[in-house]
Amino acid sequence: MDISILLVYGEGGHHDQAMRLMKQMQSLDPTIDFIHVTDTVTMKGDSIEKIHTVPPIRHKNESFNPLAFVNAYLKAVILTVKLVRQHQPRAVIGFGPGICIPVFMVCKVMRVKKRIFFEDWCRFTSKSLSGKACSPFSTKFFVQNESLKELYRDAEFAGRL
Amino acid sequence: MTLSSLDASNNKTRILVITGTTGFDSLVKKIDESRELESRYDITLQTGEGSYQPQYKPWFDFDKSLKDKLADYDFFITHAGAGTIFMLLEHKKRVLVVPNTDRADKHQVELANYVKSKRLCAVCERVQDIEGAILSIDANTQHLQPYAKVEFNAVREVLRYIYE
Repeated sequence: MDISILLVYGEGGHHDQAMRLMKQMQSLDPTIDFIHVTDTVTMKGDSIEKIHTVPPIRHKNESFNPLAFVNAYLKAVILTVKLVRQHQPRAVIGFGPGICIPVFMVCKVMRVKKRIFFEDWCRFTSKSLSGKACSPFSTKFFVQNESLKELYRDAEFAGRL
Repeated sequence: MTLSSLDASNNKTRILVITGTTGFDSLVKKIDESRELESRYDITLQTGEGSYQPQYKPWFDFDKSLKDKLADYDFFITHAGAGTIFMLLEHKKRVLVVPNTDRADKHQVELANYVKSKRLCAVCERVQDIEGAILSIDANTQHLQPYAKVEFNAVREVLRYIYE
């Protein structure tokens, strides 16, 4: 049976990183079944079939709203439980933003064994929220800028997507 | 032929302003309202999810096929979004970066500092200085260094790791 991978990302750069990695992986193994979880509708319709949308954990232009946060968090948890049961993914790959946190937590609890996180490629001297929160739940952690290796002790730098 | 001589022959320098999906109202408004720029440049604005609607210059909100239209412009002004900047640099474009400090999170300054220190892009730190930065954009972007990307080289490793 083809293997499934859960791909989690937000809009903008996160989305671009995810698409770059997906294309590189697909060119080596076209049979991988990618299941997309994203917090944006702007990028929808990139001819991707299995795409699931969750509300963003934090709106970029608004201040922190605890109610919206809890709502988004719970929705992401419920969706991830459903997706993991349904597809039994071999791995989860996350790129940020905050939406990755509940997904990675659920994946750990539900024993998705390979949990790979890519820190945001716009980070050079500081950690992102999702990077900080997901690193304890990850089994492999990539940084996209060499300078970040100092901040993440167990991270790997293998070039930029 | 240099861009300034294009200018002289009445072919205005074409500039695209890219704000990403988030939008960057203060930048878009400032450039839109500058009438001086119009005499020298053909400026097209992206607005993203911003709420300001340009009055004086052509604009669009999103364009998924932007990558295929890069050849239509001489210069690019962009927010410090990594996706946009790396894409432009990979296509060897001349870029002026304005970090979007309208956003709640201020991380765009980090990438702006990086491209500035490596001289990959020209950087205009404050939106209020953008008019001057555009008027001297040719000079500002003249001594930029080519972008030498370290390609991601762990795809096989990632696949092996997932299969094992």
